[in-house]
Amino acid sequence: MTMNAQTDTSPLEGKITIEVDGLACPFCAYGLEKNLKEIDGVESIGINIDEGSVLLVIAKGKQISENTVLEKIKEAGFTPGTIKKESDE
Amino acid sequence: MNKFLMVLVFSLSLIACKEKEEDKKWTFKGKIELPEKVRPLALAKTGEDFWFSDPEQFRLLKIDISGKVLDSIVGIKRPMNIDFNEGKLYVPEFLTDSIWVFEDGKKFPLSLNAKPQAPAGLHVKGDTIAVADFYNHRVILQIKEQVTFIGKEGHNKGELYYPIDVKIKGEIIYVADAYNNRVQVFDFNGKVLNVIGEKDGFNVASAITFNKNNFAITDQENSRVLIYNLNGELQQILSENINYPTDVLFDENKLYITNFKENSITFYTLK
Repeated sequence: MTMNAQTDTSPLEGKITIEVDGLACPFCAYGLEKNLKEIDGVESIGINIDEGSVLLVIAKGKQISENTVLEKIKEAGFTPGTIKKESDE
Repeated sequence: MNKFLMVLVFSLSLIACKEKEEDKKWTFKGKIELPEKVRPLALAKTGEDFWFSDPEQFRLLKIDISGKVLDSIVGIKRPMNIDFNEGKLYVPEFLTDSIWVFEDGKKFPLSLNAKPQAPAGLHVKGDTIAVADFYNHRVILQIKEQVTFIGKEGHNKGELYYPIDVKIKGEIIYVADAYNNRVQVFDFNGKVLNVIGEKDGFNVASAITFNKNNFAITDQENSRVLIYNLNGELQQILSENINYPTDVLFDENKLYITNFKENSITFYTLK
């Protein structure tokens, strides 16, 4: 529990891009999309198979913990890479 | 004496024909170019034309042999390995755990007595339905409303790891056991009968098709298609003009292969 608290530094909001290793396979990529859709507050998901990245759009006024996102990626069988936060403006 | 000679000549010509058939190899013939921004995932033949799923664009497109678009079905949330049988197009909708049937312009849900989690592929033959249940690591087999589950998550013989496609051949089921990099063969009771391709270097075995004497399997990540005889013995490896194959389809003397990473379908002929 302490470890989670240490890694979960700031909540995510707006648009974020996550690099994911092994996203080339469509069956797995869309499986990850299915998993991420289950997170409360996710408005839309863009899967980029060519670049191996996921664009997550979080609904206005909502926040999601980084750990929740990372856990969903791991649940789908992937290794999450860099998370890049983008301004929604 | 004449009769004996006639029988001898007939027998020799039969042997020659058989040898000739066995000598034939699948050879690259051409590509069907598709519209831009298309990513063909799975193919089904409907008379002279094809339906293919394009999950990237949430749609299915019907094309003729030249690639000209004839019809479309839109708004399907990631359509995967489709099937066509007796005038019905079966479409697994990956994101909603649904399977849809399209017939004469109408859409209705497939009556399935078990809930798949991310259906990746299916095969319907009469009153027998087999579904590759991707996230449950099993096959749902429904025969006359009676459901049997085949396989469970794992890497041992008889276990499955993210199955993507399934084909019924007689009373036998062939499963593309994708992330175990093999095909497993089961009877209708779930007893494993054969394991194919384990030594052939597969990296994601994602689709299966049959003709009379052979079956073909896509080796997705290696951009290959492997041809086996019905005993599971490797006959030929195809790689020319194949780019990330996600489905394969025999049609008489032609073999069609979807190139998911480009907007085309490659076809081979038997020579």
